[in-house]
Amino acid sequence: MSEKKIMIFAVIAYIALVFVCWDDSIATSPDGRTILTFWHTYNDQEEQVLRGIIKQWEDKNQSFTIRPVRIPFDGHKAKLRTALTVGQGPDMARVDWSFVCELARKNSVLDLDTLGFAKIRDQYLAAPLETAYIDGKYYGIPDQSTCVAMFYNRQMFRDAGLLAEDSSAPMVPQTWEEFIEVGKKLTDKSKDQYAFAMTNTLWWNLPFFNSYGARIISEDGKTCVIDSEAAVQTLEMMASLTNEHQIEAGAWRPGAISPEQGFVNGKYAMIFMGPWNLAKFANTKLDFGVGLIPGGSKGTSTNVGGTDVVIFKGTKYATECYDFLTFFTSAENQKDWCTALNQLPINLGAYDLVSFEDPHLMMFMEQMKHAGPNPVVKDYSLLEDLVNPEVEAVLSGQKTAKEALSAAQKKVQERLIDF
Amino acid sequence: MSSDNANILEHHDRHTVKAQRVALFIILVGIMISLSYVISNQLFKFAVMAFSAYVTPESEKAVAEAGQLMQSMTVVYNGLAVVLTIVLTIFVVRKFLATEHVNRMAFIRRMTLYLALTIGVVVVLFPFFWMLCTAFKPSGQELVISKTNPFDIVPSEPTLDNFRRVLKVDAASKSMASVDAIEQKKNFGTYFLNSLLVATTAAFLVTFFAAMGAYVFSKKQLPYKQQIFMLLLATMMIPGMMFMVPQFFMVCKMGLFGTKWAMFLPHLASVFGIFMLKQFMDTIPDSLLEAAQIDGASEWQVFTVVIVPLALPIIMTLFLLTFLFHWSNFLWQLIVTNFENPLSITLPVGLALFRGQYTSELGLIMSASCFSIVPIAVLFLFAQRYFIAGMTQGAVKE
Amino acid sequence: MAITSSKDTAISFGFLSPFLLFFGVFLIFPIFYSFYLSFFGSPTDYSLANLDFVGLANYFRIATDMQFWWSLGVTALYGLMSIPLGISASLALALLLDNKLFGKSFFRSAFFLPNVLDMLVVGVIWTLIYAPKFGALAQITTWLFSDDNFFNTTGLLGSPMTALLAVVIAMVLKGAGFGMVLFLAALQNIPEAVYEAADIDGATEWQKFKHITVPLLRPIITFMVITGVIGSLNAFTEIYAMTSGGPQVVIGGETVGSTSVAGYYLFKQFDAGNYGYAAAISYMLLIITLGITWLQQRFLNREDGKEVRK
Repeated sequence: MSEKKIMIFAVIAYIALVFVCWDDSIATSPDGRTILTFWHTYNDQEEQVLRGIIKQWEDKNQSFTIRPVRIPFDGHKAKLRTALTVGQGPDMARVDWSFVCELARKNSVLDLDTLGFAKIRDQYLAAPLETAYIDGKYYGIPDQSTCVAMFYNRQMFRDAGLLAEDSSAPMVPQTWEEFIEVGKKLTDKSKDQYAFAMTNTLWWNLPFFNSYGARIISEDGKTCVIDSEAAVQTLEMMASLTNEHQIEAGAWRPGAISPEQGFVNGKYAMIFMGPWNLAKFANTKLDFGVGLIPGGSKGTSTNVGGTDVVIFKGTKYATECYDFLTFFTSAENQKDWCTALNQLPINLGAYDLVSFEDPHLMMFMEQMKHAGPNPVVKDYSLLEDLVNPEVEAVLSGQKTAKEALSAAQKKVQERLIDF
Repeated sequence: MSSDNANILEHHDRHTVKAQRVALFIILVGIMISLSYVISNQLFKFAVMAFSAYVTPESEKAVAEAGQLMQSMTVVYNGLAVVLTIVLTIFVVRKFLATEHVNRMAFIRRMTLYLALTIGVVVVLFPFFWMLCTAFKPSGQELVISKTNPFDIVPSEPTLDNFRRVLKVDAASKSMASVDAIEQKKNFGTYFLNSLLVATTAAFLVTFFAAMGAYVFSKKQLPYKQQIFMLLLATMMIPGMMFMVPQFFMVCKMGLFGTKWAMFLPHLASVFGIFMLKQFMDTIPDSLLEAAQIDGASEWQVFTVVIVPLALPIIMTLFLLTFLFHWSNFLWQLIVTNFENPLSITLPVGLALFRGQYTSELGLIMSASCFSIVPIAVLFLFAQRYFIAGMTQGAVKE
Repeated sequence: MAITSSKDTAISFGFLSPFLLFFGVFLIFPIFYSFYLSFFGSPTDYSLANLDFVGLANYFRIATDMQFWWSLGVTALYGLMSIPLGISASLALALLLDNKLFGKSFFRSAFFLPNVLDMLVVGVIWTLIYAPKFGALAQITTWLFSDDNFFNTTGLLGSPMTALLAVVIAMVLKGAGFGMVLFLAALQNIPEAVYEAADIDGATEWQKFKHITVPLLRPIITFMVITGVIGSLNAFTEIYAMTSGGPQVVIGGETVGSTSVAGYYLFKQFDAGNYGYAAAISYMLLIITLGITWLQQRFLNREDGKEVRK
C-alpha cells in the first residue's frame, strides 16, 4: 500500500469515527421517559438486585425511568463534589453516612420532611436514621447499616490444627492476647500466609479503639480525646501485631496487597470485613466463617457504618425521587434485598419478613450489639486525613504511640474543633 | 579493531589468554542458555496457555479443564524451548569456532553486548508480560505463584473469564430496556473509541495550528514578531498542572463540562509545537518560496504545496507526540469527565473507575489494562518505522 | 526579503490567529484568572458562583502550610533523581545500540515501546510488581536470598526511603526509550572522521566519549533536562497510581507523605473542593517555575558564552 492510500484510509476511518462517537448526549431515553439519575456505590451483586427493584418501580411509574450510575466507594465524595460544583449532579445518590452532614450544611440536599418523611420515619432503625439527622432536620433515608466483624478462612484454621474437620463453630479468639497466640500458629511466612491483614484508615481502626473503650472525640463533641491512655494502649497493641509478633501482613503499607484480595486468595487467615461482601464471597470457592472481633479491656466491639440515600436540590422531580427511595427502602423490598444479599434490613418492618438463619448474618447481628460510638465531627474526611498519617507513623515504627496521638490530638483540635 | 595489540598480547602469553577467552565464552554461553531457555519457555508456555484458555468451553470446570489441556502440552512447550536453545547454542558455538583467534575477543564482546541488550529488553517489557499473564488468572488465584521457580509466571490453570467480564461489565443491564442503549456503552470498547477520537482530533488541530503559526514566525513579516515569539517561549516552561484550576473553571463556565470538547480544547495551543516546527522551517531556503510566488502561487498554496510537504517528517512527529500526550492525559480528563455519561469517559479515566470498583480483583484490573495497552502497542508495532523515523528527524534539529 | 505591507501583515495574522486565539484564551488569560481566583475561599455551597472573597488568607495559609513546602522539596528530589537517571539510562541504551547489530531495529522498538503506553496502567502494573510478599520482585528476591529481605517485608513502595526512588525507576524504564531515540539520532550524525582523528591522536574510549560525544550531544541533554524539570512539576499520574502520596515519614516531628509531590498535593486540594487555595498554590508554583526558568536561561547563556570563547 502506498503512503497516499494509507493517508486516505486513515482520513476515512477518522471521519467514520467522528460520526459514530462524537455525539455524547445522554439526556434522553429512547422511549421518551424522563430520566432520574441515581448515583450509587453498590458492588456487582448489590447492583443486580437494585436493578430488579428499579424495574418494579418503573412498571408502576410509566413516565419515569431511573438510571443507576455506579461510582467507586473510594472517591465518591470527591466525584459528587465536582458534579455538584458544575451543576451536573444527579437527582439522588447513595452516600456514606459521614458525607450527609457536609451535603446538608452546603445546602445541596433536600430536607425530607418537606416531602412527608415525618409520617414514615418510624419505620427505620433509630441508630442509622440518626446519621441523616443534621441540625434538626432529616436529610437522608438510611439504606444500609453495617459494621465490621472478623472474617476467617476455615481451611487455613484447619490446616493449622485450630478447627476440627467437621466443626463449623466459630473459633475466632476472644481476646487480643489469644488472637496473637492463634495468629502465630496461622502465620507461615514460607508459604506467604499471614494470620491477619489490616488497612489503615480511622474507620477501619475503630473496632480496635472501641474494644479498649478509647474515644476519638469526647461525648459532647467539644474536644478530641484521641491521646487518652486507652488509645495509646490500643495503638501499641496494633503496632505489635505487625512489628513485634509479625502476624499481620503489612497490608496497610502503600503498594501492599489489600486485605480483601489476600483473603480471597487464601493468603490472609483473618480480616475485618463488613456484610456487604457476604454475597460476593459466597460466589467464590472460599470456605470462610464470621466471628466476633477479639476483645480488649472493654470486650469485643466494632464500628458503625452505613449509607444514606439523599435527594439533591437540583432535581426537578423531588416527589418522584422521594417515591422511589421510600419504595426502595420499604419493608417489602428490604426483605428481597436482604434475602438476596444476606444483609441486615434497615426497615423495622422487614425484620418480621426475613428469617435469619444464616450463621454469618447472626454473627453480624451479635457484633452490632457491641458497636462503639463513631466520632461525630463537621468534616469527617478531614478527621481521617489528620489521624491516618499519624497512625501510619506508629505502625512503621517512626513514632511512639504517645507522640503520634498527641500530635493528632493537637491537629484535630486546631483544624476541626476550635476552628 | 586493534588487532596489533591482540597480536602482541598473544606473543606474550598465548595460552593464558586463550584459556581466559574460552572460560569467558563458556560463562557467556551459560548465561545465554539459561536466558534463552527461560524466555522461550515462558513465551511458548504463554502461547499454549492462551490457546488452552481459548478452546476450553465456558463451564463450571473450565479452569480445571484448561489446566489439564495445558498439562498435556507440557512436552510441547518445554520441548520447543529446549530445541530452540540447543539450535541457538550450536549456532553460537560454531560461529565462535569458525572465528579466527585474533577476532575471538571481538566476538565475545559482541556476545556480551547482545546479552546485555536482551536483559535490558526483558527488564523493560517484563511488566507487560506479567500483566498479560495475570489477566488469565482466575479470580481467587491471582496471588498463587510458583514457589520453586519465581520465573515461571504463566498461570497453569488459565481462564478467559476476566476478559469476558471486562467486555460486558454489566450483564444485569440487559434486563432494562429503556436505558439499555447507554448502559451497554459502559465498556472498554466505548472508552477506547472515545480516547482515540479525542487524541486524534486534538493531535490534528494542534499540528495544523502550530504549522500555520510556525510558518509565520519562520518566513513571514509581522509587527512585534520577535516579542510575540519571546512571550511564547516564556510560557513554554510553565507546566500544564498550574493551569488546572483556572482552565477547569473556564471550561465549566463555557458549559463544556463532560463533553469531548472539554477534553482537548484547553490544550490546543502548543507552544512547544510552534518552537519545534519553526526550528525546522528555518532550514527551508527562502528561494523555494520565492520561486513558488513567482509562479503565481497564493499564500495558502505556498504553505500547503511548499512548506507542508518539506516539513512533513517533523509535522508527523508533532502529530504523534500530541496524540500520545492526549492518549494518557489522565489528570485533566479525570477532572472534566462526567461520570454518569459513558460517552465522555476515556480509557485512563475508565480504568481508574474500574480499579476503584474492583479493588480486590487483580486479574480483572489487569485484563482491563490490556484494553488500554494492547491496541496502542500493536498500532505502534505496525507504525514504528514512521514513528521512530519522525522522532529521529525531529530530534536532530532540536 | 519582501517589504512589510499591511496586506502581508494581515495574511501573517490570518495564519497565526487560530493559534493566538487558543494561546490567549487558554494560556494567557488563565494566568490572570488564577491570580484572581486565589483571593477566593471555598464555596459556601458547591456552586462556582458563590465563592467568598477572602483577601490574602490563602497566601497566609500557604506560608505556614508545612505539607506544601514539603511537597516542593519532594518535587525537587523527584527531579534530581529522575533527570540524571533518565539521561544516563537513555544514553547507555543509545551507546549500546550505536553499533552495527543484527536485530538493531527490534531492540530499538522494544525499548521504545513502553513510551507509547498509558502512564496510569504502567503505574498500576509496577505497583503490583513491587508489592511485598506477592509481587514479582518479592518472589525473585525471596528465591535468591531469604524471606526476610527488604523487598519481601516492606516492599519498595512501603518504605519512605525507597518509595520515591521506586516510582522514579518505573518511570525511567518507561521513558528511557524516548531519550534513546533522540540520542541515537544525534550519535549517528557525528561524523566517523572525528573519531578517527581522535584515534590517530591516541585518545582512549573514555576520552573520546568525554571530549567528542558528550559535547555533541549537549543540545539533547539540555532538552531532556528541560522536559525533565517540567515533568517533575507535572508529576501526578504516577503518584496517583502507585503511592497516593504515602508512605508517611516523620520529619522533625511532623508527619508528611514521602512521595507527595507538588502536583499531587495540588490535586488533593482541588479534589477536596478548596478551589481558591488550589489556585493560590498554582500561583506559587507558577512563580517558582518562572524563577527556575530565569536561572536556567542565565546558566545556559553563560554556558553558551563559554563555548563561543573557546
